[in-house]
Amino acid sequence: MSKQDILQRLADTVLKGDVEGCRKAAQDAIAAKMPAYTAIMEGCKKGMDIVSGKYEKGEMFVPEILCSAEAMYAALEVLRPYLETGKAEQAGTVVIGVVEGDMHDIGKNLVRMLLEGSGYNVIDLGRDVQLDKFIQEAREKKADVIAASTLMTTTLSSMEDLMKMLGDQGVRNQFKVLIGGAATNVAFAEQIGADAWGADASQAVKIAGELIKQRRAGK
Amino acid sequence: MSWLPPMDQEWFMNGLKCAGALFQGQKMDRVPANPLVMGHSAFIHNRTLYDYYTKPSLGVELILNAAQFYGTLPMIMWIYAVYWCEDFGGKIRFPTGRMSAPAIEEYPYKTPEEAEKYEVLDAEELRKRPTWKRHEEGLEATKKLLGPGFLPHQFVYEMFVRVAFLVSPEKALLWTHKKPELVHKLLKKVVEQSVIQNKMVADQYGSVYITTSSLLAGSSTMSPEKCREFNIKYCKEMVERSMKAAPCRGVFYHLCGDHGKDWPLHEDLPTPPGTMMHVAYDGLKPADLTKVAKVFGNKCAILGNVDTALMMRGTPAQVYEQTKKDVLAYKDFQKGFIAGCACECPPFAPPANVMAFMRAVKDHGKLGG
Repeated sequence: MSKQDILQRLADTVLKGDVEGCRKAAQDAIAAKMPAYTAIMEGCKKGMDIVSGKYEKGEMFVPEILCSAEAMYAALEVLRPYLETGKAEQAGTVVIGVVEGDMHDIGKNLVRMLLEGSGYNVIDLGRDVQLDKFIQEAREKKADVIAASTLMTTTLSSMEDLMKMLGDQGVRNQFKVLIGGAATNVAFAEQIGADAWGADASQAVKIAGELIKQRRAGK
Repeated sequence: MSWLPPMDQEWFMNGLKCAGALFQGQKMDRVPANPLVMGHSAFIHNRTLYDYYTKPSLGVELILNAAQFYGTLPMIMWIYAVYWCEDFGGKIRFPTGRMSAPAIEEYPYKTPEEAEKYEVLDAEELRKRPTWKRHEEGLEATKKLLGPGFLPHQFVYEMFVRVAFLVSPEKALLWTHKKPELVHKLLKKVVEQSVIQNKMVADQYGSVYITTSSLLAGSSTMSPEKCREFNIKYCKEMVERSMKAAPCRGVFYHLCGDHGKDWPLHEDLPTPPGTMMHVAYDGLKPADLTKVAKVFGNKCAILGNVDTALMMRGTPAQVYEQTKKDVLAYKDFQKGFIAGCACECPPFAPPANVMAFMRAVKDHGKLGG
């Protein structure tokens, strides 16, 4: 089987949410001496990109994305031990979490899955994350982007506090800040001084990529 | 002795008259307002959300005083967003900080095999469980304060989200694809449980006002077909069976979040007198209620949907303008329009915004020419 066939199988099985098929394709990639990073970026990512596009067009929904993510993680489990150190960090590092006071994390999890599928290094802080923790982790991991989410209007103020805290600590310009979640909108992002707002998981991943490029270009 | 000021009888009697007319499909002289002031009532009384959510009797007092303060309808519903989870072994956490609402920390069932063991609780058993106890305390406090204006409600929620509260939203959504038969099995039990809960309220208080809330099965998560298959048809069954099992004073259909593609599928749901339809968003914007009225306007009252983000972050002038626009566009709906927000009034909305909302309803809500 050619390397191209293996990559296509990775993409197809991710798209179909075929966990066993995807794991097998990843094993075949390793057996064929394919670099793990290539398998992720040209196989899994390709599949997740299609998933993401279909979600954006309303052709796929959250249950189907979760199935695809499950398949992708099965492949990543096989591929990660072979991944050259620092490859994901080279693509970009995103510290992600749901802000303090909010336990709703399904949207954040979708973004994380799509980011990982796109080959980025993702530090998932989970839900109900203390604001300090976002900054501390971003500094330690030399993150490009802090991605913060909230579903509830009650916790919108936490986002505002996060921005203020970044300013108070003198690190606002070190990171790009992306916000999202049902309670947020573009006007709110502008009001609090975030760099960008993601309307949904698919858009958030595209924007994160742009923000990483901007940060690395010193913009 | 209660800290509550004496009830403004004129406001109360007018409110009851208005609610009565609305629920009986009679003409009103003004557009009523119900911006769903719940947690916000704690904020304007300098109490914490923790106080509000952990002390149902206090919560009811806060809502009542806020309703009187703003001049909204005297409809009191003390609830929180993670009902019926801990009763089956889950763990919820009440807010410890200023901002948060109660949230689920641990779901009752982790695997499909565990979920198979979920059993419906009978009335006797449910009475011993925490959600029922808090709900009952809220109802008792409301009854005491409102007397004849008491509306005994039951918050049975969205059928699909109740499954999600048993196993986690991610698993519930994933299993609609991978284990649909298990999800259907759980949904049938949830319907059974909900009918029991509605009957429990009716047995205790003479009737029940059913409150549903479609939260997870919406247009941003599922295809419209899946919304129908995994929620709407079960909601319909739950309401129909509850109406047969107990005297029903109406249904509040709260379609929370984005229901742009699936709200028309709710067309066949029962709409007994007293029913309110509340469609919040179509995508990121409040749904166009003139479209909603084409389907539901001759069946039930429609609750308004001023953007909660505007209530929270806008200025009073902006809130006034938007509310005015909505009231003028929607006030002549056949079975009535109630000015409202797209969801619960945000707890930390500036009071001046809520007052601007009420002023716009007052200034522009006159009916009957």
